[in-house]
Amino acid sequence: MTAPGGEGGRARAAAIVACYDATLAFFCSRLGPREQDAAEDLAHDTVVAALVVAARNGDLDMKNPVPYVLGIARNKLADFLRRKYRRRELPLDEGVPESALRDLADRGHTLRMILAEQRRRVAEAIALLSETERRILTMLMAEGATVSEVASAVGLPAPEVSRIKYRALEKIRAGLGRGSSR
Amino acid sequence: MIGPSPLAWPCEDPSDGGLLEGYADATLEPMRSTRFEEHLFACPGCVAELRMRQSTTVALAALEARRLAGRRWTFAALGAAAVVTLGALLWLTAPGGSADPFSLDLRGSLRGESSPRIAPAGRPLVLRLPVISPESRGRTFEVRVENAAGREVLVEPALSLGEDGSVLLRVPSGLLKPGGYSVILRERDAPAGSSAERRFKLELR
Repeated sequence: MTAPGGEGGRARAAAIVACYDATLAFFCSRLGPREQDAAEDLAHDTVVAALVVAARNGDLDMKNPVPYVLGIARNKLADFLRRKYRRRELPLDEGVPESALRDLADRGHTLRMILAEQRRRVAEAIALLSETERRILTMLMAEGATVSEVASAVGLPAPEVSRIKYRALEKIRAGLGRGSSR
Repeated sequence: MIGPSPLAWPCEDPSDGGLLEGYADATLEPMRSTRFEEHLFACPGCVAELRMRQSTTVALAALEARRLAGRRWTFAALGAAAVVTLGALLWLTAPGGSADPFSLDLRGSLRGESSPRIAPAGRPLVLRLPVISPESRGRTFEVRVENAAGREVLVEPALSLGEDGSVLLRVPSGLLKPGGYSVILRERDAPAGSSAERRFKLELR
């Protein structure tokens, strides 16, 4: 593999690799908590595909790679949902800078560690919530209930349910420590 | 720390427009969802907030799954305990409740009638009785069981000799009550009380 485009090419590749975090957040949001592994794979595949596009079309203006990355991510998501559980191998194209692939692997590895630590601390923070807060958050976030459904289930007004959710998320945010969680 | 320095959340970028909440809850219309995603890729603060919410969702889902699994195990344990208790009650109360037969080899008691062989009451019995002599092969045997008063409680008129040189007598559960019995084995057509007859003592407890 070669690294085309010299400094310009490397800068473009770095800008694409920097989209990995948002790409992962996109897939995690769209696929839900049961498909976290698939979300990681898809985020990785998306960034690699964007690197391939950049390598093939050296003249593309990649100062802002977001439209490319987001476009590819949406296609990958649609493809995944169409062929759920039937993964397709992504052929790596000659010309993708090896350093970009290495950076992407590093970024994925680091983010995985950060997420694991974050999930551990979130679990600790959840343990400190009141029973009502935990129950309401579980219904809203893990079971996909709406605020009005939760309100009627727990016998509280809907605005109160929203307030409890907001308060509980604030507690979790505080438990994580804003500086280390981001 | 990954990426540029985080922004504060709630996002100060006006292009967010408060969409994250709806995006995280998957309640946004497609157009607004698309708009938020374009914002997301340029906003590390929203990425971090979304990541925190996703971690929370994963942790809550795992907690709920564990809670449900614990409840399933509790129900399974209660169910198993109920089945065991019911089985034990049936075994204790029903006559011959256990279907597992008790095998007793009487070949060792050929030498005399002084001490009875012990078997549990309330279970089916398989009694292995020794033949009278090697010449008895191919012949048919009669087995009688008498209670302590000499009353006949079971007769098997035609049992054949097994490969191991003994006759098997199967006694259904509940037929014999606890007490002493005599098991009499003789060749058919041999006169009662002849030397071709053997007696074994059996006690059910």
